[in-house]
Amino acid sequence: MLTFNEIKEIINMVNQSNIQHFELNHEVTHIVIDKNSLSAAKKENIIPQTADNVDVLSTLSAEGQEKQVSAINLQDDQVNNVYKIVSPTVGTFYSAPEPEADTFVKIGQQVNASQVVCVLEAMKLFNEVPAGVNGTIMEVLFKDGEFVEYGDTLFLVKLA
Amino acid sequence: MSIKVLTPGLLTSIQDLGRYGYQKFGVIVSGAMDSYSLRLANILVGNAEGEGALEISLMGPSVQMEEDIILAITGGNLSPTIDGKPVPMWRPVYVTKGSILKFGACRAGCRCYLAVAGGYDIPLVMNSASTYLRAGIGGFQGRGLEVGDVLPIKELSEQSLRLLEKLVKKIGLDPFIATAWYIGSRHIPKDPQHVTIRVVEGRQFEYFTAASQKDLLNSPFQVTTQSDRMGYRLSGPTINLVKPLEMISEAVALGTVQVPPDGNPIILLADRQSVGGYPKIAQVATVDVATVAQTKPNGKIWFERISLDQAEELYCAREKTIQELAIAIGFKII
Amino acid sequence: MKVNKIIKFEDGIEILPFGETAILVEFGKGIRPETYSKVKALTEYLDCYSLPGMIEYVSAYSSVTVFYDPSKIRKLQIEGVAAQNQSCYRRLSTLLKGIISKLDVDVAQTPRIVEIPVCYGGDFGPDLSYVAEHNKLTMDKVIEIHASGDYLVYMLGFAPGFPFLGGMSELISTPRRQSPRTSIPPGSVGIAGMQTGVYPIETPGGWQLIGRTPLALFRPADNPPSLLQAGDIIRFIPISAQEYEAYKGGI
Repeated sequence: MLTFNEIKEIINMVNQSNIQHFELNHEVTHIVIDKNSLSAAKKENIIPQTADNVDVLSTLSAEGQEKQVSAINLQDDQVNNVYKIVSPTVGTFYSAPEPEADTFVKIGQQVNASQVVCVLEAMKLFNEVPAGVNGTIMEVLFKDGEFVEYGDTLFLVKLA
Repeated sequence: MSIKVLTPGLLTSIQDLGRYGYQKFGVIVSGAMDSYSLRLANILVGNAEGEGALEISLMGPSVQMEEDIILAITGGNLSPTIDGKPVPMWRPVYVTKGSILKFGACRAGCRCYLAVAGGYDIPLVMNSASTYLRAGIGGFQGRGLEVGDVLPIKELSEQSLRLLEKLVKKIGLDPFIATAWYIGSRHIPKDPQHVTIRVVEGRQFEYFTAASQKDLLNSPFQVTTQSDRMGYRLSGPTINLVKPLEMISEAVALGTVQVPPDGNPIILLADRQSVGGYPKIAQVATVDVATVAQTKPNGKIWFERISLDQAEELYCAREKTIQELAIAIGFKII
Repeated sequence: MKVNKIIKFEDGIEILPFGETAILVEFGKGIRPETYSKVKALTEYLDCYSLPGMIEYVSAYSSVTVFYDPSKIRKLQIEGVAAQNQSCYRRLSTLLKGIISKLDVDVAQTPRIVEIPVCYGGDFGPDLSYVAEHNKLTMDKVIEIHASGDYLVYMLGFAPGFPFLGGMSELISTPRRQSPRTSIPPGSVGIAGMQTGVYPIETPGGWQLIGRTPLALFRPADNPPSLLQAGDIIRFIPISAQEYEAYKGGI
């Protein structure tokens, strides 16, 4: 059975893609996502889709992340020259590449735009989150193992 | 499409998931020592998970891409670099023509897998791409790679082609570009001096002394340098039978811990023979064979006993994990 | 009318787990023809029908080990297995018990007889004189004893196509060499203790070498890849050095 967080991760991935209609049957879990209509989709003519035969799906490639980060940049709060690194996905936050390893970044550290500041685990994959800007890390807003929503602020960065 | 071997490294050979169905003719299984890493390397580049990949041990080769290639490196961290820059592991990497991939210090684990999108174009022997080194069959001409070898690569699958489309857009002037997502590698031992391996009791466990049974489960065993693809020879407290056993040969399995007369256990691995005549004290849980395979010589292993049911649970859980990863990666690639 | 002999479990048959990916059926302890005929009966069944979820089997002197995929076995409905949550071992042992109880030992196929030409002594048998001395026989007598009689192939293992043979006369048994050779040419016929066999590929080894066969026991391009199979009967036929070269040339 899928956990609630796993369901959220799946919904997130479908949401960020160009898929208009998505159905998933997994053991006792049945998910239907339909972006076309407000009412429930009709049962006939619907073929349950698994990841194998889904037509189009966006990825969280670095390109995608950069697009999303730059889009967010335009709207973002730049009061006091502070930039928010926000989450491009739902997932579990980790500040280091491995449990015992050093964290990717520390408070007070200078970073450049492509530098990885944390990873977000979703559906067992780890997604690197780049800083997106040049600056200095001011604050880390999540702890290892915490679940992150799409759009949550992860770090505060003082712009260079 | 192909890659060229500039230097072969210590032992680099093509392995897949093994040659099954021929043990009754005495033809051994061979295959990847860490099959978990091999399967994931293939899934990451859009290959079928059982496609042949290069198994690279301790000292890696240097290889040159004769065309643009998509590859993935999984397993232990043998410090892969291209043109001096570290290549990220456990994710697909697009590498441009002419780039040279090298390996350096062994930082974690002791062997890694290099899968290329399309897979290596070599003839199968008895339905497998695995190299049976001793018999000189399978893999690339039945042997480990040598200087000057050129490994042809097959056509890319649809999955690989989609991955290619995504990555080629971002390549710019760099010799390579990797995805920003990757798979974790929890089965690679973090501390080579303290590797825990789960076992169930072996066929002849009760024929060993109580003291030896206790020693097996409470003392560390060092992986000696006489260890190889056939098996890991351990040294530690001598493991003794209550009295000599009249053993006749019977089948052995991957991960069988057998004890020859000198009392030093051997963990049987990929190139094990199909039968053996030594008493078996334990059987490594299949999911931990990969961890054994990633323990370097002079590393220390601690055996932990689990039940048969637990071993089965672990096996099924790992299969589920691989399926889930394949789906998650599918989402990323499509 | 022939009464078919069904294997009963009072005969000391045990079905045991062998880790979580294999199950072992032991038909008895020790090397005995009647135990072996039960091994053959089961392997012939498995050759015909296989088992769901089975990857392959390996037979030995008195046992058959079946290797399987637990994630497939778990999904099977097996008659006679009550709870769905039973381990793979319990499911498979129930299935195997059912199969074994219906096996007909006497209907095992007639064994093939395979003749193995051997050029004894000389360069091909550097240890023939030692074997003769050790057993207080002449070299010719050793050859005569070795080449008379039928040898049963109990199983293949140790190397591809290598037969574990039963039936060698005690009169020529000789312990292994103190120091093994680092390389033994393929086709070498040797003695180690009570055992005799033929090396199919080049390997190191400590057997006493008494001759060589020009036949290839391991043929990777063929199906099956082995000249011999478990259950075959072998006869060694002495040939001359010229005949050896002729065989080699012709193959």
